[in-house]
Amino acid sequence: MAAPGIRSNERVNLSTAEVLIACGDTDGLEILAQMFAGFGVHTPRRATTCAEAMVIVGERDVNLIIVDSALADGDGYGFISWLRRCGSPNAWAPVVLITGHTTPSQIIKGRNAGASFVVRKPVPPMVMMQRILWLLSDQRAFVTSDGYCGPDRRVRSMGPPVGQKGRRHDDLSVEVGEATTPNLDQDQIDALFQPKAVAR
Amino acid sequence: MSSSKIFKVENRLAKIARQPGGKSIAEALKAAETRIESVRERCEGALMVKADQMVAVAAGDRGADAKQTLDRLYDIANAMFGVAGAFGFDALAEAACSLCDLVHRFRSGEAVNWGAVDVHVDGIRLLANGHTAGAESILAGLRQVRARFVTAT
Repeated sequence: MAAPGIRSNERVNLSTAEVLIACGDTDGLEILAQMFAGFGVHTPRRATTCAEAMVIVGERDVNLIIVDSALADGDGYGFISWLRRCGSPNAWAPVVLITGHTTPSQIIKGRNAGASFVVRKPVPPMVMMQRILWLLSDQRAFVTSDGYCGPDRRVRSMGPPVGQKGRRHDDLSVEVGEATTPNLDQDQIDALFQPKAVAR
Repeated sequence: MSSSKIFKVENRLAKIARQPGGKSIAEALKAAETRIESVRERCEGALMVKADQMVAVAAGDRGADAKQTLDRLYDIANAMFGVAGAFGFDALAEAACSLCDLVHRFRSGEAVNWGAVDVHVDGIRLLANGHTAGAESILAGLRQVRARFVTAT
């Protein structure tokens, strides 16, 4: 049975996708690698350390990165922060951060490091596939600033903070101003829904 | 002056994944589950090895290098939580997560209660070695111990 939002007959072709999987625990890495091989990824690139993951990022055009918060020589947060500022097009690759024991501060840390999504273990294939499908339709812009580099963290567009000018060219204030033209009365509204003869 | 930039990037993953061919979602999920199942035996064995490592680490330095001992215990318990959860060993996953909660607390400055750590390590070792019949009583004990140190979330 498919999860909400997943159509089981929908097709996804990951056979040529370059997927980097980084996890400090070799068994956890094996589980994720098998999952992605099942999804159709021809050769998932594996790394147990931050250093190995950096080498792969330097050598290949990576399309998707799955990184565990615990790596053998550090943590996934540091790797994501490095990736987002590494200067190659891989910096914009979607990143799914996987966490084991998870505190709320770790979720925020992952988000602020530049992860596209944070997923808590255990991660069944259904959940991972759902995140992949979300990433396929992800329209979020990319943000670089002194304090943050990664996908726009404003998933819901609520407009800029009240009293502040938005930084995006299409930002609109959430405050609605005074009407500049008269409101339609009910007859005018009804008229919009009435069938009209069309001259041929 | 902040030098922030907001821009659109090409979704290369979508471009590749929407190419003709590939698998239906149903096929992909089935294949993934089958392949994960193929490494079950290996991972079950690894859980027992990790439990033994945990016992050895817990018997290590509790003095000057206690932080190192706690860090290592946390890493092993965290790894066990992930692997146990992937294969439906829910009792073991809960026990490992409980130890992570405890150690996280002790690493945050609270005085370490080694008795609480030891009872978790023993419980995890039993669960990892297949003592599923007594799993509920082991978990009940661990929940009580955890509740003394970790506030409910």
